[in-house]
Amino acid sequence: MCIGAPAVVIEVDSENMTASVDFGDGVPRAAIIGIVDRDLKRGDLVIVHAGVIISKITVEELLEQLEFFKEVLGENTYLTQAYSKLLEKYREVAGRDL
Amino acid sequence: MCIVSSLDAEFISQIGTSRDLTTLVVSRVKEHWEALRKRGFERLKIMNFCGTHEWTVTHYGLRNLVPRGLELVAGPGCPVCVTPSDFVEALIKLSLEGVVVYVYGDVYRLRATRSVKGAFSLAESRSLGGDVRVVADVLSAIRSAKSHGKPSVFAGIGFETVAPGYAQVVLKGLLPENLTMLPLVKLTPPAMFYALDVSREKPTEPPIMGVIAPGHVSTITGAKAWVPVAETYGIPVVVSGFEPVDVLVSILEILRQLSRGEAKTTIEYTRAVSWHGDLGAQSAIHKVFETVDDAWRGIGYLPKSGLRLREKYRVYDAFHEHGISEPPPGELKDMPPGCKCAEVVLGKAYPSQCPLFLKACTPQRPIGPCMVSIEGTCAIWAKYGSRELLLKLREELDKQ
Repeated sequence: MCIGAPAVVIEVDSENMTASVDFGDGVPRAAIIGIVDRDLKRGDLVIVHAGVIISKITVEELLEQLEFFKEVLGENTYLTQAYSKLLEKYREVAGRDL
Repeated sequence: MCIVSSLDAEFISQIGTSRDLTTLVVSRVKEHWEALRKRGFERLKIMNFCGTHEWTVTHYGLRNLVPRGLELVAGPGCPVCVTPSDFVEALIKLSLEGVVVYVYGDVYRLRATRSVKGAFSLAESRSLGGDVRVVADVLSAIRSAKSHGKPSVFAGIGFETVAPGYAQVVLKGLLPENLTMLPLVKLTPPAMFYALDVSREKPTEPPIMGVIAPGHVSTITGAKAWVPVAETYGIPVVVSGFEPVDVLVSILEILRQLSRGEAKTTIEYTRAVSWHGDLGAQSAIHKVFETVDDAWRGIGYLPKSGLRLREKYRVYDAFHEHGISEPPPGELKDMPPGCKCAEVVLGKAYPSQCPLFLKACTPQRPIGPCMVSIEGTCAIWAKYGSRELLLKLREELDKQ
């Protein structure tokens, strides 16, 4: 029950404790904000588990993970593509150059 | 708070690539294992709680990387596997009576022990006309239920990770009038206690001497939730991440502590887990749910191991709304005949020791609950666990 996927926050609805997130595929999905202690905002990277945001991560951690997958699985696999797309989305939403 | 110190500065400076890291961690594991063997440890078990850890261990072949006497066993970390048959039957019954039932994909195929009007699972119920819909999260169920307005139930299965989500939808009043929730959230530490008690009942078996605790569950509960396990049983508990290197480092940390005679709770997965967890999430869970003695499939009631909605939120509670009752007390005999799933989830048996495994029970046609979910130990072994077959072959070749 621990499968979690990284996503970027598009919009936060703090009234309803929900957020719209994008896993990198361009489809906005609704998720419940499970973590209360840490403020969430547009452009944050989070781990989503069964539709619940359970953790916030940094872009450095995501880049490290992508490097790891490239090394273990090869340059052009489903997982590395998915992570690359997510990073692209992150750049667009957070307006950050990596 | 303890942070894993197995990887000291000198060690980290040697790391170049993940392959180097893995080689180094494995060599350190072997060194510590040799030290333990000199102190009389011939065989011991490390239990991983979480289904995703078992997936990592089996998928990446980590059992082949650790010394032979060091057994990595799976624990009760798949919520679908431990949900009693009674609840599956109740959901089938509701779906056949015209109630829309929302479930996660793996629950859809979960088989009950007794059939309800000919259906053993929600998938079969749907083929008989029951309205069962697969969703990935509770918000999708809410959206769908609002759109049709028919009486509906969402099966809220899971561990501590999903509980804050369920709590928020109740607190924020997001559930529409026609949708109730069947809260079947289970708590992980009590099951770990039970698995460790059981492992100590059979002195002939190698003891469980370390626990790899679930990472994402601990983002909510905090690593502190595992301290009673480490203290009661005097064994190391390491909260671990899910990459193969994470799990190997956690194994190394357990062996390192054992060789020093320590039994601490440490965090390997420091990038997501903190010592106290998310206190706001814990408080939301506490506001909405009360902790109850809960029934685990094939096991029975474990004290304070489940969450149910508080009286105040009865209006959202499917137990109340549809008169669903808890399973009878005593040991639950709700496994299919021949199925060893109850022993598999407690680390007492490997899937390959079950007479049904890959014969009558396959991922395509699962019989036991552990074969249903992608996080069930049997399903993981069926897909990736070729090691046991290879070991059997080797034994036979050795005999010739």
